[in-house]
Amino acid sequence: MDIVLLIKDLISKAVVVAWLLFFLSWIIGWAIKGAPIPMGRVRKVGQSLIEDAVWGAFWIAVGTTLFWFITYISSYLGNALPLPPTPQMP
Amino acid sequence: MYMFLIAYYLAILTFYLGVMIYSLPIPLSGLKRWAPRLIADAFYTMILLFCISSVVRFSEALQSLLGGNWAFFLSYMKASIFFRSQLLIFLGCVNGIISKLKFLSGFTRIISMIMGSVSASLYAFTIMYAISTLVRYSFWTLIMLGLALMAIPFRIARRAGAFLISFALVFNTALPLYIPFTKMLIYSEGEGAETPIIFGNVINMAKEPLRIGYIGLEYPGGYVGPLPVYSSVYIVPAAKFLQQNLTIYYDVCGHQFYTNISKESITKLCKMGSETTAALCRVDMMVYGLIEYKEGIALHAMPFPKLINVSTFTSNYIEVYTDSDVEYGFYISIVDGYTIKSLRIDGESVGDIGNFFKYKWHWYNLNGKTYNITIPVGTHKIEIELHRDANSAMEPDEIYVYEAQSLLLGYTNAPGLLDEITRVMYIDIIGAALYTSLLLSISAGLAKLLGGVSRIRVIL
Repeated sequence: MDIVLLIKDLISKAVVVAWLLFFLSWIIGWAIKGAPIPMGRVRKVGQSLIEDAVWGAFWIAVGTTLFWFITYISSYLGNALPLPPTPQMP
Repeated sequence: MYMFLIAYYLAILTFYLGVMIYSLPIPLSGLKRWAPRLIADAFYTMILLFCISSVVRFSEALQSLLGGNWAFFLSYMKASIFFRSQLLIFLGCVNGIISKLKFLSGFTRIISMIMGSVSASLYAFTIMYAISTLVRYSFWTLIMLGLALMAIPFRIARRAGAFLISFALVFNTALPLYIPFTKMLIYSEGEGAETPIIFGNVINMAKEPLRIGYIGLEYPGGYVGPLPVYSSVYIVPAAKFLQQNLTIYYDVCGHQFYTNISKESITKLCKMGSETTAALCRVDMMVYGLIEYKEGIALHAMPFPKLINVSTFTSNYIEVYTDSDVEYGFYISIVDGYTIKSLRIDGESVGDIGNFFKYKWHWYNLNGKTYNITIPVGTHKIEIELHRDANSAMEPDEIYVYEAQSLLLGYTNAPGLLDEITRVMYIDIIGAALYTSLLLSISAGLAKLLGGVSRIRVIL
């Protein structure tokens, strides 16, 4: 169970870090986009940063819903959980 | 279940790692390309995790449709391994018997070669049996481990996990189909049963093995003998006598000793009709009345004492310890090349051996005599001193043995036996290797399907 607890801990940490990073890159992206730099390519970098950050935020929000959806569909297949790993005697 | 939880949570972790990479304020496109891959992998792993039991049930339905059955397959494997070991014992004995006959001794090389091939076939079957027990009993463990490996982020162990899953799935479904596969390779299995060979251990009533001697076969039409016994194993090719009643005697020193095979039919002895073709069947033989035989000297007793032990048996000196609750008759049958110099019971000489002479007999090309001594109740030590005439023969001439064996072999369906041995030697080795490589390539293909790069270009 230690590995499972470790992974759960990592998941919660990753969610928190992802939210914070979303805010950070959103701000940086808008900052680059709005900076008075004449080169267009630099502004495109800002644009891509904003886009990816918004995608990230979208997936954070939607991810849990999708996982629940997959579980719901698989319960309709008859077995929500697979058979426990016990040997099948001939 | 533990592995399932690990895979489940790893999939969720992969998803959030992908999301985190999307949110990183680093505009490196090589890094950002991982984000959609990780998200897609997470969904794929989730779906696989929840669908795996349906896939397994489908594969089991497919297996029963194709006619595979694990219980039958495992028992077939065990029976085949057992049969090949018996065949090795049988061939070792044939080797010994043939090396005794001087004009057939060249065949030992060929028999050794055949034995090497049968050993290789035995190895192949043992390896296959080991793989099948591994897959059978660790099936779900392998599947869950494969799923957990596939769920690791960044596709580190994805191909390994996919291979484990497909290996377990393919081998679990397809291994029992090895039996119809071999049936396709060879024309039939039933032909082997027409050439039954009976063999077995020869023991006396004290459960001691009788290492050498001769046996004779009586069938309703006549008598075939002497057939040699080698290293306490006898061999009788009994193809001609499938429907007849047989009696086997232990034929030494002018006497035909009864054995437990008396008016028996082959089919009842070999219990044919089981799933394994009984080309060889083992029937152990107990000789009634005989104590020991060696080079023209036979010791027998009537009634058989409760304890008898021949501690020394050479052509000059015999020492026997006996213990009996009733008085019994101790018989010494010797060919004319021997003469008894003295006979002592418990150290005391019994006097002139001529007083104990019972009768004369003729055994193939030899003559001999039988002496009878009554042994009283209790424990006694019997010592016999003999003189051996170096010029006379002690055992029947080889020509009788050769005639008896060619008579029996003439009735054997030799091509059928050769087919059976060829099948054992080559088709089993080739079939096992071929089938295993076939299954491995199928599982590699399935692994490529499961673990291949998923390019879902719908929204990402």
